[in-house]
Amino acid sequence: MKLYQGGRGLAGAVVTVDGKPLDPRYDLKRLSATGFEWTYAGAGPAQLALALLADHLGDDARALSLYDRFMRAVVADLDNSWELTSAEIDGALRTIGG
Amino acid sequence: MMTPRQAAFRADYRPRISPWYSGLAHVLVIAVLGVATIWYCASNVVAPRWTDWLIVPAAFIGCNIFEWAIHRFVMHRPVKGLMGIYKRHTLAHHQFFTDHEVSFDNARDFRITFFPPYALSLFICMSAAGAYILGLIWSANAAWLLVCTTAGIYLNYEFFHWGCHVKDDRIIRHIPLMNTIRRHHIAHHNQAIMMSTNMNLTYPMADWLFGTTDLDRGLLGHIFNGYDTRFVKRNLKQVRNSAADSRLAQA
Repeated sequence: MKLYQGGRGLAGAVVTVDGKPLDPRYDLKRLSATGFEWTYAGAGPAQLALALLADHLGDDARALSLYDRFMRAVVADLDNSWELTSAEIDGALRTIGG
Repeated sequence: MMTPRQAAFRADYRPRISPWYSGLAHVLVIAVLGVATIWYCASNVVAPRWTDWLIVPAAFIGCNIFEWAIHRFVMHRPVKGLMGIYKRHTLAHHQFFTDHEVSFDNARDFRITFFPPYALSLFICMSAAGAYILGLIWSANAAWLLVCTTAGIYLNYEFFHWGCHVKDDRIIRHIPLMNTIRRHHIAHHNQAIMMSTNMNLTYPMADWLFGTTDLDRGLLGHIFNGYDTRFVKRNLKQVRNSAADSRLAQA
């Protein structure tokens, strides 16, 4: 069970997985030139959705096919400071039909 | 009541303010620069025609939309080349001030309340560029009036914003327009809606026009709403997966 955490602060909009920085996975798709963001639908949240799914699923093709729906269903509603577990991501994927 | 996370942010931020910083000097520089600009431009207006004065309401409306757009698309969005504005606003101002505790404690907190003085210089330069073109195609009086109006609105912005974050509202709560923007802006500091709602900081006209307001009422109702909460929308954005408040996201 992994724990993903994000928060805004002087260091930026920082996202970690089990305490380590989350890879934005620009190698898969560069959706945002400025890193992660959340609480709205847009480029930064899309990059975060892709990174979360790629790390959680371990399946790049599936992450690419689901990130937009996941961004709108989950990332766009994340709080200023948030936590997501692997189980919660699985639950959200079931809801969006992933 | 302030959350532990907000308290931790304030404790982390305040020691970073230079010991040489003076909140009073910060405000004085902005006020002197703004008033001097208005005085100089007004002194150059000579026998204006009534048509020259039309630039004042036009600039007022334009500035209201500009203020909304900068806040909506630059201060709350990471945009390459303009990241400093986003960092100063979303990543600092909105972590220091939330709807749980929206007030500054003393004049040193002005560092994170007011724009840096160079922002006014930049806006005056932008306005002067527009005025130069206006002077060519319309009249010199309209050009001077344009800069007068934009500088005045900037001072209006900073004064109203101070009124949103000052602790004691015994007087402000009874001042029309100022009480409206205080409620409007404190609601904006709710971190669930800060990225997209209540983006005006003077008069909530553009928020009404573009549907980014937390109120469900007409334009005049928006402008003179005051502290009234009867018209606050019931379906405002809710957030999920909130982290424990004691965790501070920092390097």
